[in-house]
Amino acid sequence: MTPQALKEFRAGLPDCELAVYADLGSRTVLGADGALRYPQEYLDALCLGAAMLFETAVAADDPADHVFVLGPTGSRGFFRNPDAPNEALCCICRPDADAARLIRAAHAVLRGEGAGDE
Amino acid sequence: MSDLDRLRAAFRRAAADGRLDPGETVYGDPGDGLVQLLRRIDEAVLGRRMTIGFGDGTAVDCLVSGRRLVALPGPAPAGLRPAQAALFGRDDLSAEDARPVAEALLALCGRADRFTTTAERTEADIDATSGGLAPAAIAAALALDLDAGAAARGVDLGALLEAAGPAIVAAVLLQDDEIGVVRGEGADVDTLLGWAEQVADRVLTPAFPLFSGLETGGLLAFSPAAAGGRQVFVAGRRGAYLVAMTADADTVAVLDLWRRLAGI
Repeated sequence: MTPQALKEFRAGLPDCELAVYADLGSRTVLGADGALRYPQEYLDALCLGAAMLFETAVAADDPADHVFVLGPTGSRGFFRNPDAPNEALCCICRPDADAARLIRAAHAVLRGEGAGDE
Repeated sequence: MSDLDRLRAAFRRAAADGRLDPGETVYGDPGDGLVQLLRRIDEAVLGRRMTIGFGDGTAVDCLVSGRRLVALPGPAPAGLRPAQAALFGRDDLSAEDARPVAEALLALCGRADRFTTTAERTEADIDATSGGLAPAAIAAALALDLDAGAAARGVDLGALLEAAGPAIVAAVLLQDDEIGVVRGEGADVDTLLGWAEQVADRVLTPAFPLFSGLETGGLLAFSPAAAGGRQVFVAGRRGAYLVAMTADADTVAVLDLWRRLAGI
C-alpha cells in the first residue's frame, strides 16, 4: 500500500477521517492519511486495537475478513489484507458512515485497484 | 484558537487518555454540563480515579466505582462556598451530600463551556458498596434529567436481540463475570461460547484501546473471511455484553440495525 494509494482511498470516502495501514505482527504503523495530523500515540493505539481484534478472531478459529467497532462518536473499520494477512487497513469514520461503501472501497484498495475502481 | 486547533487538542487529549474518541465535552449551559459529567460517572463500572479538567483550567479528581461517585479526594478548587469546599478531601460521600455535590459541580461547570475527562486505575480497589452517590441522585437534587438522550449511550441489549429476530441463531449474555445462554442450542451455542471466551479474554479488557466505548455502549462486529461463514457481534451496554451469532454474514445489516436502535 503506497502513501498515494492510501491518500486516494481516503479522498474517495468523505466519511473517512483517518486511514492507517498497519503491520499487525510488529504492531507498527506503515502509513497514515488523515484530515488532521494525528499524534503517533493515537495511530499506535489504533494499530494495537486492530491486532487484538484479528488475534481474537484467529483464536476463535474463525479468521475475520474485517471488523467494525461502532459507537456514538465514530465508526472504526479494520480490514485484513488477504494477500498479506499480517497487514490491515484501519479507518476511522463518522458514526453514520456508509459501511457498504467503505467495505467495497477497502477491498478494492487492498486488491491493488484504484479508488475509482470501487 | 481555531476550530481546527481545538479539534487537534481534543485528539491529543484523547490519545493521552488511551481512548480513541475525542475526550472533550462541550455543553450549552452549566446544567447540561453537569448532566454530561454525571453520565461519565454513570458509565464508570470499574473503579478508577477520574480527573475532570474544566475549560477554565480547574481540575477536580473523583474516585468512581460501580457507577457511583465515591469521593472527591483532592483539594477543593478555589472559589467554592465553604459547604461545597468541605466535600473535598473526605474519604467518602453519602446520600445527604447529593445536593451540595450537585451545586459544587454545577458551579464548576458554570466556569467554562467544556470539560475533559481522563481516567486511571487506582492501586487499591475502590469499595462502592457502602457509600458514594449515584449520579441519578446528584441530578435529582437539582431536578435535572440524567436519562435524556440515553439512546446515544448504547442500545438496550434485549431490544437488539428482539429486533434482530430469527437472524440471531445463538446469543449469550456476559454480565458480572457470569455468562448465560439467552438464545440457541447445540453446536451453535458451542461455537459462540468459544467466541465469547476469546472476546472476554482479549477484547473486554482495559488493554484493548477501544474498550471504554464498547463497555459503555458500543458494537463490535466480526465478519468472516470464509464464504458461508457466520457473523459474530458483541454489543456492550454499561458493562454488560451480548455476544451473538447470525445465520448469515451481513455486516451492513448488523451495523444498520444497531445504529437504528442507537438513534444514529
